[in-house]
Amino acid sequence: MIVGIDLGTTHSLIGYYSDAGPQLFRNALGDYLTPSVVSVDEDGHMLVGEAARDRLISHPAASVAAFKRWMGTARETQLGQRSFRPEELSALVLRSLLADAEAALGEKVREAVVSVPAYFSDAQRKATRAAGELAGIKVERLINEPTAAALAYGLQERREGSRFLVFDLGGGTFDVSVLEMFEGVVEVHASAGDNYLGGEDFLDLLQNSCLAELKLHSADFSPAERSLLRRRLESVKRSLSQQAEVSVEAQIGKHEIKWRIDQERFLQLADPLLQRMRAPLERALRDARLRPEQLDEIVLVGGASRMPLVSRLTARMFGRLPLRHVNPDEAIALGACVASGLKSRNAKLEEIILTDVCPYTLGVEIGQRDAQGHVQNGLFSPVIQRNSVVPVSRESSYFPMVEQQGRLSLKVYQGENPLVENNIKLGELEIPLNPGLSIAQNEVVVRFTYDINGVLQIEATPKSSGLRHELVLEQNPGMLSEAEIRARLAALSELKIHPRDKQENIALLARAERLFEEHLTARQLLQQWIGQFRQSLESQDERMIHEHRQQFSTALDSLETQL
Amino acid sequence: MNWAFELLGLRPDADAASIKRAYAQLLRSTRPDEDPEGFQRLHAAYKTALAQVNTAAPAVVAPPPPLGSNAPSTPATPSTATRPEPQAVAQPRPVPTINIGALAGEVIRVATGDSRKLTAWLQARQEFWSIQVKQQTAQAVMQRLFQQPQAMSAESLNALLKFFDLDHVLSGINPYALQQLRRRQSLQWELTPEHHYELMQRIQLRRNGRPDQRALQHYLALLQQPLTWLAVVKTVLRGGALDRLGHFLQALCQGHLDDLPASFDRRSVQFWYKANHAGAMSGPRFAVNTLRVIVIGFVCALLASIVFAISFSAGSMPGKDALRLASTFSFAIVGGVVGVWLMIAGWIYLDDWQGLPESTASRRPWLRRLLIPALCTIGFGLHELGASDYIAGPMVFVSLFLALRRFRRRYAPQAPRRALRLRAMLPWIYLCGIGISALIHLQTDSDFPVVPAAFAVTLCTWLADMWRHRAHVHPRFARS
Repeated sequence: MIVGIDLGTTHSLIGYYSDAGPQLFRNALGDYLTPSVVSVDEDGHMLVGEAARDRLISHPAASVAAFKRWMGTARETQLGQRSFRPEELSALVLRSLLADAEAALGEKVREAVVSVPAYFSDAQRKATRAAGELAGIKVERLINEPTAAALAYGLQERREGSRFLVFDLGGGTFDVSVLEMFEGVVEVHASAGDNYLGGEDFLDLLQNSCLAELKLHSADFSPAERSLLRRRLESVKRSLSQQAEVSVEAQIGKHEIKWRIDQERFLQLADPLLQRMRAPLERALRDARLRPEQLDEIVLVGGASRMPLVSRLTARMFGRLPLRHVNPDEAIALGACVASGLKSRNAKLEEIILTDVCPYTLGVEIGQRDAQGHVQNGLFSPVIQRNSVVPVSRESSYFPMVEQQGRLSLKVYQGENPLVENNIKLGELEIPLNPGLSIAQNEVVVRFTYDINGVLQIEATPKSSGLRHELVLEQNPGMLSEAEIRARLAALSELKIHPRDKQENIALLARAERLFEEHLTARQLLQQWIGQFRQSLESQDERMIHEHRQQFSTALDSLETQL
Repeated sequence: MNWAFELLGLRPDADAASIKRAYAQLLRSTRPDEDPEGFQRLHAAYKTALAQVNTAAPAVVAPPPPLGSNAPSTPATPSTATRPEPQAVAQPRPVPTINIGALAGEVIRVATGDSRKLTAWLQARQEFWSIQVKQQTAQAVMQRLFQQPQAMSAESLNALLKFFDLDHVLSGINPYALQQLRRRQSLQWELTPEHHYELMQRIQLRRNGRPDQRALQHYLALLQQPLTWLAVVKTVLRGGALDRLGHFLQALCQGHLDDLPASFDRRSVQFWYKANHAGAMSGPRFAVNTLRVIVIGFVCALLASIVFAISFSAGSMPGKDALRLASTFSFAIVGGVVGVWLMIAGWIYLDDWQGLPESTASRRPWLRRLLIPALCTIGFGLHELGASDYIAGPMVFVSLFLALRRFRRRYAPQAPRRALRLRAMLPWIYLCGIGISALIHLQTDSDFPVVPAAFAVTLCTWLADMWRHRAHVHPRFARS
């Protein structure tokens, strides 16, 4: 069985392509959206999802969120006894999603199509693949998030011969893709984006502004109080989408928070972030060689695109309001399901063929000499230009800088800056030359081949000798090796994970504990309820637990509305 | 271009819709994941065919909204026009009259001011929300800057490039030219009086720990005024002044003399730069050093004549004779010092000229290649004809050392050149060697044929060097 997964910064979803079309799976709590949060409880059991998100407030030191932003780095997070790499945390989320899928399907899931931001780098993509391996599945294909959203949207709309722009603002990443659909072909023209721009950054703005206006510092709060404040501001951010002015009043720790913000002010605060969105939008259109009026639609996806300022931004740039027929939270996951259906060659989907692009420019470092003989080194010479349709293979010729040069060192970079020092180095290849030949005769032909899975192969052939040199890209410092993955897979399978059928109870307890932190007046009552519920859990009487759970849940609901 | 249509199975007059249909059909048998190479060919054909259709019939592509007209632009694609517009904002706003040229002028004016305010100003401008206006303005701004660099700090230029998204490798701007523009503009910016402080900070022009405004004014005046002999003599005679000026010029433009704004006098700049450039013998360097040598010679002669005058006035020699002797001696000293200098300069010049890489373009490459064999053959010939060894010997030995130096210098061109001081010593060592060996040869009357041996070694060295560089002599020799 092959499934489609949207592994998001704040939420993750899983689904598959059924005969009736893309179908998402509900988690143990009955939701499609599983928060991408991991927590560890006192007995060392791992928690994922809603319960873990509640524990961000009650047990901030033992919980972690937004780790997608660290993918491709070696950053480790200490949770309880163990420290985790971002790949492992993602693998835990994937495992929880897979458990949901397997419960619904009744069979083992072995392969998946996972969505990644279009602008994810090579290291980040490899880390996502590693996370899949750590979760015990084979990642058959990584699909770009805007492409996935377009697949879902295009299938839904069935509009032939249209060009559209997908604006994907998620929790932590921002992506733009320009696509065209015709005759059963989905062709991506261009992708651009910002890997460190998302809904979380807007929340950071609110938090910083709130603390600055109340003359408080982040250090004044304990981690638990900080996540409580963040949660409050999250709801402020959501309300700002509907109301002109939102106020928040709360007692957090020993600080009284009394703050109000209106849309005008929020827009002012968010201006630097909105300005950052302009460049990728312009670049995507320019690379696609389209003018704004040649676009048929603008599709907004990603939870953060619900903010009115986002549609105002696109309206300002394109002179029209975006269409939003898709559910911004689910579009990418649905698209991933479609892609999984394409991969397994579902008979109904046979007619769709997807072509995607390589979002980065790949090239080598060169030096240049001008008429006066001044040499400038460190220039970047592109071989594969960004937004080339993959698979792609390009050739370029290079020459030695000086007479009698004995070797040519070919440094391979990925990035857009004209100077290599601002780009990412992928590897290096030394090519021996014949020093007896003149510069013009020592031509070296370099061929870059970028395949559909994003694997880059480099061949260099000096024309004089005809000997081929191939580059094996060196291990990125932030990446796991095969052996490390195996070792970590073994370590991960030793972790205790709460069984899926207990999830509901655990989530309920986590929620009560969060309310305990938030609700100063009802603490005694909550403590009492928690004690009672734990007792009935210990009784292991399924019927009693079920009844008690419902009572407990309604009681917590009413408490939450009071808050 | 017809290959593209052939590959797609179409006639060359096919329209865009049929190209797309054919591409979509062929794609089913040539999937990107199954047949990467076939797909690349197919995709290239598809793009080529589409591009050809679009250039041949520009009517297919909607024309851009006329800039500078007040008529509201209507969406050009039919699919948008047939659909009800989503909401009120979807009404295209009337395009206000925008004069791109004036806007570009304004951008440049703001950019030459405070770099910190530039980004905020650009972001706040309403016009730039229109992608087309932004692109056209960016083009106009860069065109103007390349035509006429302005006094603009590097930060301002970077902010401009970032805002207009030109700071990437596919922007179409040559990174080398851009780097040059950045250097020129920031140099011009630093040279405006209000930014002299930044300039002095950068090039570390200070005296007693404080920026040296007077020195800066002096140097700038020297470099901006036409070259006069008086200025040259004054600078050369003041101890260290020439060196300091050279350091200043090097720090100012890092060897990129073309970057200096038009207010600088080209001849002055070239003269002072070359006079300080240790890497090669040049006219200015020769002139400056000759001037120095003459002065040194005269000082020596003056001192010597004073000594003469004192010692002879104490003796019995008549004053007239003493004076004549002193003046002859002085002239001999001046002549000797200048002569030695001319020999050194000549040697350095010959050595530099012969050491040039073979690929260096020159009007008469054969002259450079054949100097050494010609010189040593003439010397050897004279020797064989029975001329004095004092004439033949030096010719052969000079060509021998030239050949050795030429081989050594061109063997590893990457190696840093030795400083001039050591290089200036080398001919002396050689000359001493020649003299001593010649003396020994003459004194002992040994039978060893020194001149023929030197002749043979010279020719061998020269041939070895030419063999190494044979690829440049004629491409036929290039095969390895």
